[in-house]
Amino acid sequence: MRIGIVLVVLVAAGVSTYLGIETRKNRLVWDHFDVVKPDILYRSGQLNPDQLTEAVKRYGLRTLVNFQRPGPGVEAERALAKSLGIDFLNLPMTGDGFGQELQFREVLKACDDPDRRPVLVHCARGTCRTGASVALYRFERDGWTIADVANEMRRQSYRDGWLPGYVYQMIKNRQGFPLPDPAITLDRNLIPPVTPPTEKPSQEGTD
Amino acid sequence: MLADKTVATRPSLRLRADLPDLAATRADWPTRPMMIALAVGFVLFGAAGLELSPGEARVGMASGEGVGPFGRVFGYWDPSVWPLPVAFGQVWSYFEELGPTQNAVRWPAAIAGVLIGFILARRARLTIDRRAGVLVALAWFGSFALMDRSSVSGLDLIAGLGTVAALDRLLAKGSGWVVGLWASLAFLAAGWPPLAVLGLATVVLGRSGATWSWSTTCPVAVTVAAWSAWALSQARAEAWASALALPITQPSSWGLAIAAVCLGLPWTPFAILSTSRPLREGWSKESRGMILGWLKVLGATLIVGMMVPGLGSAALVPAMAGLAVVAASCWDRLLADAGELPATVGRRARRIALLIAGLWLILVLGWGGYVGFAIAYYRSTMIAVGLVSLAGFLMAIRASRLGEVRWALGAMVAVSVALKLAHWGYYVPESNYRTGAGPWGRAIGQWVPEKHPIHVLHAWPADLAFATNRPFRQLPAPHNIDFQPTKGSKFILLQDSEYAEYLNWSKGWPKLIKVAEFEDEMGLSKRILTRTDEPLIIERPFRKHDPVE
Repeated sequence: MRIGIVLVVLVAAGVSTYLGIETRKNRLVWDHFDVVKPDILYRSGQLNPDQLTEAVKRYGLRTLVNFQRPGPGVEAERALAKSLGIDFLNLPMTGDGFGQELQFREVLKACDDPDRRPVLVHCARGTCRTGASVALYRFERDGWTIADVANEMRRQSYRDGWLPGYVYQMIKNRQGFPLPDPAITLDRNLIPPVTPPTEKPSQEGTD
Repeated sequence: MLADKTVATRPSLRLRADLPDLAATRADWPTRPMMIALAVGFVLFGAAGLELSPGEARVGMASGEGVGPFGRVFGYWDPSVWPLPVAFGQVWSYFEELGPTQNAVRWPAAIAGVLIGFILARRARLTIDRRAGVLVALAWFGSFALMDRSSVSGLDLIAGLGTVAALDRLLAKGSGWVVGLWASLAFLAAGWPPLAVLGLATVVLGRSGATWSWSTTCPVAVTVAAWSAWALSQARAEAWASALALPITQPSSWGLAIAAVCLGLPWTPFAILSTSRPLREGWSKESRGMILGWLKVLGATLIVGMMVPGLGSAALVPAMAGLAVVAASCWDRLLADAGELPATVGRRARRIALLIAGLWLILVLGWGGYVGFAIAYYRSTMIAVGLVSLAGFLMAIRASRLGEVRWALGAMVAVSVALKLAHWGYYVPESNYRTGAGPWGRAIGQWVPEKHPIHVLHAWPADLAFATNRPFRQLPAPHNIDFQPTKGSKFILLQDSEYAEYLNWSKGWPKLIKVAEFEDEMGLSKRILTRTDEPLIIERPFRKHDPVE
């Protein structure tokens, strides 16, 4: 009995180690891959070339978006996208996901264009940068609440909690009362400081 | 063979003089605390986590409306929604800040499930012994059905409470007005199908004191007559007739027996041990009466549920109750065995336990392993499920090697715990994320002031409408918006095709302002929230926790 238990534990430990190593090397599963909206938007972490090729075939992807900074990895992916005949969009930003609004809006443009979608967005882990771009899609297109978007980001392992609020301020049509137009007016009623007149030397003639 | 040799060479622990009589000590288990712990752990913990299916959402929507003979959905009577679940939902939603949430549907069903378990366990405790009571509670609460309680599986636990309580009373004390009251409760929860199931079960039981007597019939007849009078006074006769005719339009539930067994897993397979004559002969006269009675109920409900259209849902809960009682009684007999049972019975029980624990472990290692590695969010849950499942499998192996059914029982408890963990930690959040209408409904609801109705021109998916947490009103025609009772601007939810129709042909329509638009779940169409071009009057609703000024 004890030998059996030891064997079971050893086999379980061995299988777990093997699976762990394969996962770390990105060979076992597609890292953080998920369907945001079928035939429109997909998300993932960094996939290896075989996985990317398979994803393009399986989901008919037409645009590949990479949020990582330019480097050998990005160049290799650009070449792969070219060989596969799909668009490649590089939107480099820092790993914490705090990219610029115009970068995230490029993803929405691709999703809105029937000739450019389905779109796969990815960064290194598929959590922060990818999560922020998907968050903007959820806010702008699906109208989700900030709580639901934050829940979805948590599900994709984003635990810091800042990005949903950061992306929320980019939305064009936010829930709440509209700002009056004009939103800011300033009446300058302060008396401008009086500068003392400079005294000119007298030009009067002398006798 | 290996197990038999072990049994032969190793004396049973129970027969050793230096150990107390374990069977006797187990009979003194603290029944009530254990039953409460099982109910809380398996059923009430995370009871309202799963989002509502469209059918349940109709009950939820009706819970936010007035009391009536039917539920009121989209502003109209819905003959498929019976008053009792709605009444429970209304009571529960009294404690909610802004009207009913999924708690108003999930909690009454969970409490009904717990009460069914207590009724069954109490009867087993009184008829057999304390251990049998705990085992019945374990087989009922530890089943997948009670963890899930989703109406997608056809479970109606509120109607089931009335049916099972009536059957329990019939089996224990015969017919009487109490049976009639429980049957009336079942009628108000689901209409006549539970009455038909009860009537047939009474015939099959065939006991002299358990017939459908006048004292049983009177409360039911009074309830049916009172409800009919109420329905005819509140709604048109067509609604009353629809409510009664609706079950007949349902197809036959040919998969009812399989559903009952699957929903009762992992405990239902042990009911097959009741085919053993020596095991049955060990039951006392009273025990045998109760257990065989539930066996008859099981057979009758399965047959009638499968054969007669519309009775499947009403027959499912009593059938599952019968399976749980029979399976638990077999376990009680195995645990009380002092050597009079043939070895084959115990061996069969241990093999069933080993099979269930092994299959479950394979499932956990395969699917759970993949999920744990692929989705980091579920990793800790899957590790916990894997460890508990592994412990269960090892206990099942130990049971087979030592020939001790106690270890097999431990294995089944471990499988139940792992099942609950997997359901709570993986199935519920994943199902909510993949199929739930919550985020899509809340997206719409956030634009509408609290308690303001959303008007629609056709029936929308009920789960989406319920998730907005706002009342829904279906308009017969667009211009009827002018006759709605709320003051000021009124909200109208349109499909993009309806909105285009409004833009192209707006003569019969009130002037609308576009508030927000939302893509649907598949990105195929848009939902457009508009409001009439009037001043938006927001009356802040009274909140229960407001300070009194």
